[in-house]
Amino acid sequence: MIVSMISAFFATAGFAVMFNIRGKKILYAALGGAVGACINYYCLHTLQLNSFMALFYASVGLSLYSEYMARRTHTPVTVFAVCALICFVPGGTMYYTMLAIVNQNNVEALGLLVETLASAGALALGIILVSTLTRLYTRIQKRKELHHGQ
Amino acid sequence: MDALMQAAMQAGSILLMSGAETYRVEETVVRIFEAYDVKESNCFVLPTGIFSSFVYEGKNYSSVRRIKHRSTDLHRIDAVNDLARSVVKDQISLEELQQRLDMINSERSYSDLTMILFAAISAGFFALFFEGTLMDAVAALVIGAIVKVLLIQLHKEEITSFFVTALGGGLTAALAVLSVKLGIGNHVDTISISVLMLMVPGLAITNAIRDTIAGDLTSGVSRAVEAVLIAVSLAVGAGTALSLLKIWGVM
Repeated sequence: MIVSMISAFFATAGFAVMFNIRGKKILYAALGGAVGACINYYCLHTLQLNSFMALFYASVGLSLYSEYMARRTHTPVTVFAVCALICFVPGGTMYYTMLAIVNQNNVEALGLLVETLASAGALALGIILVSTLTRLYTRIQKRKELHHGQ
Repeated sequence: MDALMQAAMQAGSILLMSGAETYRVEETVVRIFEAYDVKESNCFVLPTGIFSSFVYEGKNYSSVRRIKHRSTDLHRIDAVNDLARSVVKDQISLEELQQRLDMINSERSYSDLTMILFAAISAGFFALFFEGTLMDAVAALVIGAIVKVLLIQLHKEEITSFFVTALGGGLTAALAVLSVKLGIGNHVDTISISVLMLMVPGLAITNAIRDTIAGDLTSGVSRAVEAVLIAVSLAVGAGTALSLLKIWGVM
C-alpha cells in the first residue's frame, strides 16, 4: 500500500509539472493521486471488491479531495482533478487489448475492450456523482445565505 | 468598447488554449463583459472557437476567434480565473486588465529539460505503481525521457497530434522490447504501459465528462471523440511496432 501511494504521489507530481502547475499546488495535486491510490488499494486488497468498484470509489475519493482543495485554495477544480485522475486511466487494459489484437486473439480482445470501457465508465461515474453533489451543496448553501440576508 | 471585446476574447482564448472546460470559458467572458456594464452579453464556445457579442448604447459588438492549437497549461487557467474574479470584485480598469492578460500570456512555462526530467520520473514511478520491479522502473525512467524528447520535438514541428501520439506509442513499445532484450528491464508489458501513461488522454477524458455534465453536449461529445482517437492512435502505434518486431523475429 505504501509503495502504491508513494509511486502514485510521484507519478502525479510529474504530471502536475508537465501540466505547468506552480509552487505548492504541485504538492496538493500529487496528494490527490496518493489519496486515490490509497482508496483503490484498500478496496482491492482489504475489502476484496472487484476492480470497477475499487476504481469508482477511488474516483469518488479523489474528486472529493479535489473539490475540497479547490475551494480551499481558490483554484479551478480541474487543476487538481486532471492530475490525480491520470493514474487511474485504464492504460493497462488498453495495452492488453491492443496486444490481444496483435496476437489475433479476437475474443480476448473484445473482453478486454469491454473491461477498458467499463473502467473508464466507473471513473466517469465517480466524477459525475461528486460534481453533481457539490453543485447541489453549493446551491443549498447559497439559498441559506439568502435567507439569512433577509 | 472594442478594447473590452478584445480583452475578454483574449482571456477566453487563453483559457480554451490551455485546456479549460467549455462552461468556464463562457462564464469568464460573460463575467468580464458584465463587469463593464454592457447589456445582453453572450458567449458561445466550442473546442475550436469562441463567438461572443454584447450591446452597448444601442450598438451591437461581436467577435469570433478560431482556436487552432491547444495544450495543457493548468497554471494559465488558474491565473485567468483569478483575474476574472478580481475584475468582478475590484473593478479594475480596462488597461490594467489588458496588461495583466499580456503578462499571463507572456509567462514562460517550465523549460524543456524540466519537462523531460519529470516525464521520466512519472514513467518510472508508474512502473512501480503497476507493481513492476525496480529494474522495470529504471527502464521506464530512461524510455520515458527518450519518448518525451521525441514528443517535444515533434510538437514544435506542429504535426497532427494523433500522428505524434502514434509515433510515441510505437517508439515506446520498440524501446521496451529492446530494454528487456538488453537485460535492463524484466517485463515488456509493465514498462510499455508505464511509458504509454505519459500520452494517455487524461485531460480530454476529464473535460469530456465535465462538459457533458455541464450541459455543453457539443463540446462534451467532441472531446470524448478526441479522447478515443488519442487512445486508438496510441494503440495503433504500439501495435504496429510490436507486430513489426514479431515479423522480424526480434520477439
